[in-house]
Amino acid sequence: MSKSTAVDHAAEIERKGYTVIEDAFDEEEIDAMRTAANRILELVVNSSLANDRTSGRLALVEDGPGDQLVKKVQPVNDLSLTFTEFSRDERLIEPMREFMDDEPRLMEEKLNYKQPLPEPVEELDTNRPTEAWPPHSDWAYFRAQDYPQTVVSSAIAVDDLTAANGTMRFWPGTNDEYVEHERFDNGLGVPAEHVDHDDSELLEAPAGSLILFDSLVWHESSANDTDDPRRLMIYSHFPASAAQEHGIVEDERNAPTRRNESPHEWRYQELKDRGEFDDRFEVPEV
Amino acid sequence: MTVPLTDEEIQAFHDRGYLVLRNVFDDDELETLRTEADRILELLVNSSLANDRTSGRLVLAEDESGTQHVRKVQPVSDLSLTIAEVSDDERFVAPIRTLVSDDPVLLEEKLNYKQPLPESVPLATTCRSTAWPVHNDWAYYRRDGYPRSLVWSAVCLDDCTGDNGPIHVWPGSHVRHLPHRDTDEGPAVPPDEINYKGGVDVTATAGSVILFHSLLVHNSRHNDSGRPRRLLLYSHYPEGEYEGYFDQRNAPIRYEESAWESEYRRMMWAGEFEDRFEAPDTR
Repeated sequence: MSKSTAVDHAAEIERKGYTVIEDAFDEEEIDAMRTAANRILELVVNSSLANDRTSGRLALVEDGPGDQLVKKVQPVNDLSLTFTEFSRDERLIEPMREFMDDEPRLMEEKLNYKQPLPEPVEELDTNRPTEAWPPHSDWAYFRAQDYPQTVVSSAIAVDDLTAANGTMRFWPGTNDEYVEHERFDNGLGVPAEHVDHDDSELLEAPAGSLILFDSLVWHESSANDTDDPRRLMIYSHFPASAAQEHGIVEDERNAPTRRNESPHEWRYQELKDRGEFDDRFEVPEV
Repeated sequence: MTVPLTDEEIQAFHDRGYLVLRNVFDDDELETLRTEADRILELLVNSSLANDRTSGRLVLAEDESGTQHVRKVQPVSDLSLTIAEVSDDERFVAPIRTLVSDDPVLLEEKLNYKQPLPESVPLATTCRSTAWPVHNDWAYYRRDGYPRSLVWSAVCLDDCTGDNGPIHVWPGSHVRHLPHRDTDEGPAVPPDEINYKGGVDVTATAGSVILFHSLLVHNSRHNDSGRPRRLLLYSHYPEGEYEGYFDQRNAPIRYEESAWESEYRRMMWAGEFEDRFEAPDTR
């Protein structure tokens, strides 16, 4: 990406709250991400079965009677060198650097799968009411750890994003001021009296697209009405200088989950190595 | 079974700065912990070989004779459910609670192997011995704002004898923090602050747990016995005396290394790498 292109994208984030870069990642890279996504899902589900406890990384939805859908896995970088390396990719970092006028540092990462399972895994806890998200600003969550409003998230479309599979919808220009949120059953959201859907823009983009959005811009996503996954790899970065100013502890939002879950995942590996557990879950063919 | 500390034991800790709890872990538990120690060592060495980089958890020493030694692995609880669970074991956490009069919170954990390797592995060595300089642990912890009242505990996986590099302490030196100077081996108390010829070895049988005050000055000699001297070390601070994130010293290493260990696991599953290192048989 040329410097001027990065500047243009930063300017669009400033103006609208988000920007879309189509074809940021090629087919080979997307294929590597899909393979990594499948491997993580198999690891987390099989590890949950082996340990007889649902992993704290895994958010599952009961998608109608007897149906399950994987909402997200968070965090993921410690499970995948592939996703760790993409979190440092200049295609993400350069426009962020321009926007922040500072060096971006990773705050957190998650893989939103929105992936229906053809067969429910009955031993697992379904712990989320829906895969949809209400209109919200991410900063409503990030403020809890005193992260600044200048956090930028980058979403890599691992699958095509369509109206039918629960893509994102943005409210351009809502990044100019934070509006206090209220709690809904599926998360924090902008109070309904502020939200006019006519002011929003539906985002449809092919796999490989990169969407950069700031932490204040309102966005939502609906349920996935297809049988296929709608995977978005989402990283959030904050300006390095904020670490000192805000007393930010490295990886504070996700380190406890990584630390709690990792020993169970190694125990699963031990059980496999000793022949005491055989994988029972395989990611459905897409 | 949790055995409350006696008044004499409490007084001894406050007077000397350390206390040995004998026969805390039984033979079966020790066998499990030693197996875990072997598994972790194999995981880290093989993961390092698979990724062609030495894990940031692994500290290897090469002595003057060219023998490699595993000095320590840190952190470890995210690699082992057993070790994570032992960190909450009331048999030594309850005595810590008594000694600090507050609920103990785990600050960090490490496995000091002091284990010679019969054959060298092609990995980076960063020091020349398994010895530790004369220091107290708070000299490290104070940099992150942890309180001086914290207690560290050593679970002996092997007998700690006079010839395998036991912890050597200066009893009573915990009553005040002695100044340290930065050295190549880390912060150390200079010889004009304490008599280097003083102190006593803390010997203990496998299964014992030794509790230390964070200001207690100690060191340990190189282990040239040919046998490992494995200590599983935990540090706990009193909950009410620190408000920061408990794992701030080790979370960055866990994060950085986990992705590489996951990549090793991926290579193993895909048949792209076969283990080349096996932990030495120490039984």
